[in-house]
Amino acid sequence: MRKMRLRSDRRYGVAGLLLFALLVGAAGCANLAAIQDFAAVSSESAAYTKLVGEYVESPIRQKRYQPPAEHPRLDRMAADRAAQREALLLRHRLIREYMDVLGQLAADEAVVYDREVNALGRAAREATFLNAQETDAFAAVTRVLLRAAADGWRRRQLAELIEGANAPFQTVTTSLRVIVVQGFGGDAQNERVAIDRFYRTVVAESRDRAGITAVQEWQEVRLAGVSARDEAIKAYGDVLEKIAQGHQRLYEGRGDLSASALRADIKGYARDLRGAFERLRDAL
Amino acid sequence: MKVSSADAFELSKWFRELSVTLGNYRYENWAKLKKSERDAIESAEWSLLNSASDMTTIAVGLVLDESEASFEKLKAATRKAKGAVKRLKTVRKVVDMATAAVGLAAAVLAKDVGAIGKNAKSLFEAATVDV
Repeated sequence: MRKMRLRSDRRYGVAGLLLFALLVGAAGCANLAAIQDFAAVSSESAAYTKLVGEYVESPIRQKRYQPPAEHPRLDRMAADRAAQREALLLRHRLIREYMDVLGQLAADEAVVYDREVNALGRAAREATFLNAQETDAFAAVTRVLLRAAADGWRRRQLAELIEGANAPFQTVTTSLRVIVVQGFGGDAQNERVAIDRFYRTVVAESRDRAGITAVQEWQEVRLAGVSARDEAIKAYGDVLEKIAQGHQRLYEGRGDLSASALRADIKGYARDLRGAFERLRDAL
Repeated sequence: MKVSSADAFELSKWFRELSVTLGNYRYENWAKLKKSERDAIESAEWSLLNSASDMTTIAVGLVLDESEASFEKLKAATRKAKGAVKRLKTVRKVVDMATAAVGLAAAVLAKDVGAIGKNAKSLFEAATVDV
């Protein structure tokens, strides 16, 4: 009779334990999917480095339009820019790596501890007081508790990362944006002036009407290429701006990263970022 | 005199505008200018335009220099965070947390209130203390 009562007590004990674990698990698991998504699209956007190549090669492209006397200067300029290429690519790479690790810390996928947990369950069964049914419940409970504990630890790391990294992150993304918008943008304008000057001079010196028409068509083609680059530069400027703004919002909301207002805002930034990235890919 | 990146970008823009202004003058006065005069002005235009591009290169270099300290700080933060992700998966941490979780589970099963409190504390410590 006493044995029957003990078994009955244990059944209720196991059920209560499961309920307790589910409650703990539910309280512990934060919804960070919006942050994970924002990090993923930021990482993908930051990996776009085509504009760096366009900037470095611009002096060589301009040799087509400029007189031979200027070519040594353009060659020297190309060498100076080639020396900057690695530093520029490293900036893109770092933003990408940072966003990758931010996404990993925010990831909701379970860190799998099944092997260890099952081993613990078996050990508990062998060593003490659990029967087969209790072992399964025990392993399930432990898994949930472990998940909650790991989630709590991960959330703390994520908040600490955002807090510590925000200031340098803003500087790095903002400075890259300045390089893209003012540097690459100014360069595109220089190239436009060079194309315009070259073809305008050819037309002014020519008497051949058919030749003039053909040359003007080529001018349009070349200028269209510069316009496409202009569009890409503007779009990438927007990409970097949205990445910086999104991270700033994370910084401001780091006290409760699963707050619904923060999640909604981050979803908005991710959406705007996707739009800017699509414009960028369409342009070049 | 030390030039900032903002100054350098401004100078680049100024050189380009000068180049364009000269070019406009050459085209507007094409018929009035001798070929040698047009060639001399054109040469100055290209020189100014390339000065604009040179200043862009200098400005980009200055921005990279000005943000270098922040770049290194962000690199360090990223490295530390990568370590945190790695630690999340370390067996030792898992064992620590699992051991504490097992203790808690057993205490709840046995309805041992004292042991529940003690093991919950152990689980919390295992979850929050760095390896």
